[in-house]
Amino acid sequence: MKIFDWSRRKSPWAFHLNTGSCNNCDIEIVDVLTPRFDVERFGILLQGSPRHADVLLVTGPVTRQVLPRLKRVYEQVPKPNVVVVVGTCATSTGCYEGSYNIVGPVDRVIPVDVYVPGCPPRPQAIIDGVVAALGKFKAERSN
Amino acid sequence: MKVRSHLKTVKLRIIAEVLRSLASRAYTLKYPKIASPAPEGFRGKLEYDIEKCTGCAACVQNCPASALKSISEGNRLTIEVWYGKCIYCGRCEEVCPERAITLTTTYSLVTGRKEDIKSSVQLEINRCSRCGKPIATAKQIDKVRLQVKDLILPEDYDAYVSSLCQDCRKTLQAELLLSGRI
Repeated sequence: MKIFDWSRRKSPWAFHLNTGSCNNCDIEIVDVLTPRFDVERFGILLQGSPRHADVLLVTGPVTRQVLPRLKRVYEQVPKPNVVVVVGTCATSTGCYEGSYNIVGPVDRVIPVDVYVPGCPPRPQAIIDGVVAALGKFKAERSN
Repeated sequence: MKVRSHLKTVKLRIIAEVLRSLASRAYTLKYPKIASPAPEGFRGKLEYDIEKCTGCAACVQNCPASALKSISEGNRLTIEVWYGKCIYCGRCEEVCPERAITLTTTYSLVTGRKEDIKSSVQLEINRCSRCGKPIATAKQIDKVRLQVKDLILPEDYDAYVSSLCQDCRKTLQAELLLSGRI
C-alpha cells in the first residue's frame, strides 16, 4: 500500500534498545531528541513498545543475557522495518571483543541496515544514520 | 489584592519571555541542510600521512580496541585501520614517532556495509640479501641509516650490512673476526 509506505517514510517511529552498551551512545540518542537536534523535525518519535516502531535503534555489543531479548524485540517490530546500529560496540564489539559474556556484534544476531560508528557518535552522525535509514524505506518502495 | 498583583507580574513576565523568544534565533540546529562542523581538537576519523609513515607499527601495538592491524604479505606491509572498531581515543596519534597519524574532525562515517570503512597504508619490506628473511620496511632502514650517518663506516660496508638480517649480521661479524680482518 502506497499510503503506508509514505507514512512510514514521513514519520518513522523508533524504538531504542540497549544490548549491553556503557550508556554513552544512549545519552547521545537522548541528545538527538532534545530541542537542540530535534529529530521530530523528520517525524521521528521514540516509542515505548517495539510493536509501534518502524526503526530499531540498537546500542552496545550483544551480551549473553540480552540475546533472547534482542531476538524477541526484533520479532515484535512489524515488517518492513530498518535496524540502525549506533556506536562502535554495536558495529564490531569494539573494546569488548573476546569477552566471555559477549555474543558478538549486532549483525551476528539480526540483519542490520545502517551502521553509525563512533565512540560515541556525535548526535549529527546519528541524524545522518537515521536519514540514511529513511532512504532505505524509499528504496523499498521503488522496488 | 496581593494575589492579583502577583498574577499580573507573572503575566508580564510571560509576555516578556514570548517577545524575547520571538526576537531570538531558533535554538535547533538545521543539521542535514546546514553543515555543523566539529570543534577544533575533536577526535574523529583517523588519517595517515602516507609520505611520513615508516611502518614501525607503534600504532598497531598501542591500539586499545585493536582497530589497527599490520599484515605482511610477500614484500608488502599493510597497516590497516577499520573505523568500525576505532574508539577515537587518539592513542595512535600520541605514540606515532613520525607524526604520520592525525585524527581529523570528520565524524560522520555512516555506512550500510561496515567492511567498507577501512583505510590502509602499504609499504615495501626489505629482505635479507643473504638468507631472504624479511628485515624491516625500506623506509625504516633508510631512517636508521640517516641516524647513524655520522659514525665512521665505509660506505659500501654500511650499505651491505643494512641489507642483512640480525642473524646474518652476527654471522658476518664472526666470519670477519675468524678471518682476522677485524
